[in-house]
Amino acid sequence: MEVRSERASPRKRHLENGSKKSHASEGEEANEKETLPSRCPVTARRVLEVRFVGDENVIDHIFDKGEGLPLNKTAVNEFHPEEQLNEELGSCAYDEREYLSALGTGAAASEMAELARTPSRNVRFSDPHSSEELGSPPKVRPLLAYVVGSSDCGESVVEERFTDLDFADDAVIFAESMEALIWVLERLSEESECLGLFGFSIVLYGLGSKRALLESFRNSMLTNMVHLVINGFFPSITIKSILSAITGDVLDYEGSFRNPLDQTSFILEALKKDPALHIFLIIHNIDGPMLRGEKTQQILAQLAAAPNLHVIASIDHINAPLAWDQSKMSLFNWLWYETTTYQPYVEETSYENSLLVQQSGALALSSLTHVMRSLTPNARGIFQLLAEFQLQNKDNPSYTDQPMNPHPKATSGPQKTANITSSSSPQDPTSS
Amino acid sequence: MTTSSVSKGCFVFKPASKKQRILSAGDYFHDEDEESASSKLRFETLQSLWQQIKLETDSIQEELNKNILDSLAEFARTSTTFFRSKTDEWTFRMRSSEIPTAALVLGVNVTDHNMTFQNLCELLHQSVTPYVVGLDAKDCPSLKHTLQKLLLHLMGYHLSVEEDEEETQPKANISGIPKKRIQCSIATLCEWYQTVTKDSNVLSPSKKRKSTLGKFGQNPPIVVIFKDLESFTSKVLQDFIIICSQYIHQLPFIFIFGIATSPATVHRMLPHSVSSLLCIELFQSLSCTKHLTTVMDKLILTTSFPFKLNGKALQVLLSIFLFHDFSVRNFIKGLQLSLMEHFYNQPLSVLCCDKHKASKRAQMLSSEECENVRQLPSFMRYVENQEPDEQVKLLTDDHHLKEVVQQLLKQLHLYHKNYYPVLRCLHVLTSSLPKYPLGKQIRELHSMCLERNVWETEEYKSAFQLLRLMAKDELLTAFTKCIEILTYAKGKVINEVQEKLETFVKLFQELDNISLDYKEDDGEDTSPQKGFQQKTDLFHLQKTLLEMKELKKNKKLNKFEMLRLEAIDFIDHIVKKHLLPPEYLALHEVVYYSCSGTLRKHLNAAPRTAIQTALNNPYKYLPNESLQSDGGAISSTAPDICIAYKLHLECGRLINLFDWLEAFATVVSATEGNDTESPVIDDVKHARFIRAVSELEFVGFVKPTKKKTDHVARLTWGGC
Repeated sequence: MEVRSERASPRKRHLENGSKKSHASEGEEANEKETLPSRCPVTARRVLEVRFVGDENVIDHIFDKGEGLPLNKTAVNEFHPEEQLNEELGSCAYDEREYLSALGTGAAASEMAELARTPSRNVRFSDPHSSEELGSPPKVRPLLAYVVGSSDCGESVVEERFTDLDFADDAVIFAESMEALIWVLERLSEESECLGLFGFSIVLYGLGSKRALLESFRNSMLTNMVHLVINGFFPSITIKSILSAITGDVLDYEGSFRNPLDQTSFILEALKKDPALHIFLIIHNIDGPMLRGEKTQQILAQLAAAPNLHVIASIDHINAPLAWDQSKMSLFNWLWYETTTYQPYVEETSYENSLLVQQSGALALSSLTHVMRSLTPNARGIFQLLAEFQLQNKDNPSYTDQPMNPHPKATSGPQKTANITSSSSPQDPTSS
Repeated sequence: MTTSSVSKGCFVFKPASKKQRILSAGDYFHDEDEESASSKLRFETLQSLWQQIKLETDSIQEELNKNILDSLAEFARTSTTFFRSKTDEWTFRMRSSEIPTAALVLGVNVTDHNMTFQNLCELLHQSVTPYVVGLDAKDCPSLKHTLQKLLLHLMGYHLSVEEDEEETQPKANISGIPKKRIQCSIATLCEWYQTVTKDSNVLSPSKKRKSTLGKFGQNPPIVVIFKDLESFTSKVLQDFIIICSQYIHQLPFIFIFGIATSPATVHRMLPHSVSSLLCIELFQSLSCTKHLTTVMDKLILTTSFPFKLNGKALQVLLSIFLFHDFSVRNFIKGLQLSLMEHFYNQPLSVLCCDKHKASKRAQMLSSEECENVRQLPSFMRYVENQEPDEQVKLLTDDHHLKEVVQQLLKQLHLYHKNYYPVLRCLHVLTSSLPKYPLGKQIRELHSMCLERNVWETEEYKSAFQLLRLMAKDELLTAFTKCIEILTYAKGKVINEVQEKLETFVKLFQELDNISLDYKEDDGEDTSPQKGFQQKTDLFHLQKTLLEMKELKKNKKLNKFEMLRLEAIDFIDHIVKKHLLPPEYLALHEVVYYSCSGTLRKHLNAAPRTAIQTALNNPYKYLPNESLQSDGGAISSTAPDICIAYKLHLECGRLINLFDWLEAFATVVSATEGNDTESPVIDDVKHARFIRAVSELEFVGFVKPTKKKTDHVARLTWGGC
C-alpha cells in the first residue's frame, strides 16, 4: 500500500523524465522486469487476495438468503430471489469499510460474485470433472435450473429471459450483465465448436476487464484442447513471439523463419495438413499497443481465417475497431458479444508504461546509457546529436514524441507504418 | 498454470493426455438432459442445409461472373495473338509498346472480390496461360517486394512443373521458397521466360510439359492481376508499369486492374506519361445489388430451403447490406449465423427439413418434444381455436398430436409453395407502377408481406388503385409474365390460379376484336369536351367540370373496365388468400428464425457506444437504485471509473490531475456524509483515483502529455 500511495502522490514531475524512451535496450528491459514483481504487482496481488476472501463470504451469505426465499411459479417472480440477492450485493458492495479495503471499484465485489456464479451455469456444458474443480456453490444449481427450465417456448432461452427482465422493469438487478456473462460463456462454448465448422471468431467488448471471464471460460471449456493465451496488453509482446509459440510449442518445429509472413504461411500449411488439430487463440486485448499495427492484425486475421484455428479476443480501446478494414473483418469473421463487466483492469494496467507505475525516468536513463556504451565513437556522436535534437524540440507542440514512442497509438498506427515502409523502399531494384 | 506474468505475454497450453479429445461441433449441440439423438439429427440437418446453401451461393456467383470472366479471357487471348503475329508493321510496333490492360470495375464490396479473382485465375489458367499472378497491395509495399512476389509466383510455378518431371537439376530444389535470393529483376524473368518457351517449343521435352504448355501456344502471356488497385502505392505502380513496358517486346504482359471505385482512379493514380503506356479496356462487373437479388431469389424466395427468416431478421440482414457494406458475403454470413442460432436454440428445428423427412420425423417425436410443441405460442393459438374435445385430445394424446403436427407441417409447406409464386406475380404487377408503392425490388415486397397483412397497408391500397387504372397492353404483358411464373410453380392451387389468369388474358384479347363496336360510345364522350373548349368563363368552366365528374361517376363502365376490375379483384383475392404473414400459421416457429436482436448484436455491434453508455449511465448495467441519477448529477456510489469519466467530461483539452483528484475525492466522500469544505484525500482515495485514471487511459479517453506538468490530454469530444 505504501508503494502505491507514495507513487500516487502528486509528484508527477517525474513523469516528465520518465518518458517512453525506455525501450532502447533489451537487456535493460529484462532487468527492469525482474525488479518489477517486487514493485507494482505485489500491490495488485495483495489487493486481489483481500477482495477474494471478502467475496467468498458475501457470496455465501447471498446464497443462503436466496435459498431461503420461496420460489414462485410465474416467470417474473422467479427473479425475486435474485432481486434480493442484488440488494444484498448492493449493500455489501457499497459498505464503505469493506469497499475501501477491497480498493476495488464499487462493483468489484458483485462482479466477483458474478464470476463465482458463472461456472455454475457453465456446468451444463462442461465435463463433470471440470465442474468439480470449479466448485460452484451447489445450492445455486436448483435455482438456476429452475430459471432455465421455466423458459418454455422454443425461443432462445436467454433471449426470452432478457425480455422478461425488461418487463419486470426495476427487477433487473445486476442480472443483465450477469446474465450476459453467463450467456456469453454458454454461447462461447457452443460456438467455439461450431466455429470449427463455420469459421467464426469471437470478440468481446464493453467496459471492464474481460480477463477473468475468458480465463474461466478457458478453464472450463478448453482444458482438453490445444490453446494459447496471448496477453495483448503485455508491453513487449510481438507477433513474432506469438507465431513462434505456435510453431515451436504447438507444432514442435525447431527451425527458424526469415520473416513473420513465411512463418504464417508455414503455420497455415501445417494446419491444412492436419485438419484434426484445433488450436484456440485467446487474445486478451487484441487491440493492445503492440498488436495494433496493420501488419500484425493482418497476420492474425490470416490465422483466424484458417478453418481449424479459432480466435477468441477481447477489445477495450474505444477506437479498436478502426484497426480492421473490410477485408480484415471478413477474414476474422467476428461475432460481437457485449460483456460489460465493470471489473477493474488490474492486470492490464500494471505494466511499466502505465500511470499506475512510478515513472522515475531511471529506466529511460539507464537504457540510454546502455545504448550509449554499446556504440562506436562515431555512432556515439550521432546518438548525441539525436538526443540533443530531441531535447531541443521537447517544448515544440508540433513536434510530437512519436519517433521515440515505441507504442503507436491505435488510430495513427497503420498509416504510420505504411508511410515508413513506403519511404524506405528502394527506388529501382532493376539496377542491382 | 497462470497466465499473468511480467516477462511473458504468450502462453501455450497443451492437453495433458497425448490424444486430444476431438469434439465434433455436434457434441455441443445438446444439453445434458436432452436425448442426444434428436440434437444429433438437428445438427446433421444444419450441416446438410448449410452445405446446400454454400453450394448454391457458389454456383450463383459462378454463373453471375461467367459473362465477365469469359470476356476477360477473350481479351487476354486476343491480346496474345497480337503479340504472336510478329509483323513489322508500323501500327503494330506503335501498339505493341503498350501493355494491354483490363480495368475491371468491381464495386466497393471488397470482400466479395476474392472469389471473383479466384475464378478468374482458374479460368485463365485453364484456357489462356499458365502464367497468372495475383498481386495484393498488402504484399507489395515497394517495387522490390512486388517484383519478388511476381518472380516467385512465376518461377515457382515453373519449378513445380519441373519437379513433377524429374529432379535433374539441383536448382529444382528451391521449390517455391528460394533459400538464396534470386536476383529479382525483370531481366531475370526475361531470361527465364525465354528458356521456358524455348524449352517447350524447340527441344521436344517430355510429354508432361508438352501437355501443360502445348495447349497455350507458342508464347503464353504473363497475366498480372492487381487485385486492389486503389490500395497500391502509386509510385510502386508507376515504376512497375514503366519497367514492364520496357520489356514488353520480350515478355507478353497483360495487366488486370481490380478497381473498387471508378475507372477514373487509374488516371488519378497514374500520370499521363505512365497511363499512356497502357492500352486500357474497361470491364464492368455485375453490381452487388443485382447479386443480392439473385441470392435472395435462389436462397430465400424458394421452397427448396426449408429454413426461413422472419421479417425483422431479414430486415436486419438487408439493412446491414444496404447501409454498411454491400457485401453479399456478409449477407450469407448473417444467414449462416441465423441458421446456426435457429438450429441450436430451437429444439423443434428437427422438423425443419423437406416435407417427407419432416413428417417422418414428426412421427418419431419424443414425449418431451411433444411437450415443446404444445408450448409453441402458435400451436397454443391453434389449440384454442379447436373444439373442446379436440383440445383435450391435443393436449394429452401424444399420438394424436403427432398426427396433427404432420398435417400442420404439410399445411406449412403448402403455404410456402403458394406464397412464393403469388408473391412474384404481385411483384410483376406492382413493380412497374409509378412511385413504386410496393417497392422496386421483390425483397421489399417480401419483407412487407412477412411483417403484416399486406392488403391492409396504405401502399397496397394505392398500388391497387393504380392497377385499376392500368392500360390494357400493360396489363396484358404483366399477366402473361405472371402466367409464365406460375407455370414454373407446380401445385393444384397454383394451377387453378394460372388457368383463371389465362382466361382473363383470353377475354382481354377477345375484347380487341369486339372493341370496334364500342367506338360509337367513345364518340359521345368527345362532344362535351368540344363545348368545354369554347367557353372561357370561369364559372361555366367549373360547372362543366362538375358535370363531367357527375357524368363519369354515373357512366356505365365499358366492357374492358369491367373486365379489368374483375381481374384486379381476382388478384386481390389471391393475395389475401396466399400472402398471409407466416405468424398466423401454426408451427411457424419451426422454420422461421425470429431473433433479429441477436443478429444485430452479433453482426453489427457498436463497441464504443457500449463503453460510453457503461461509463455515462452505469444504471443501465448495474441497476442499483442508488445509481439512478437524474440529469448530470454524479452518483457517488458509481464505479470509480464512471465518476472519473464524468468529471473529465467537464474539462477542456488538458486536464489538471490535481484538480481532477480533488473533484474526485469530493464526489466520493459525499457518500460518507461529511460535508467538509475540503475533502480529505487519503491514500485509499488517491489510489482509487489513479486506478480510475489509468483505466481511462487504457480504454483510450486520456493520454499522458508532456506539454504541461501534471496534466493529461483528453482524447474524445462530445458529451456522450
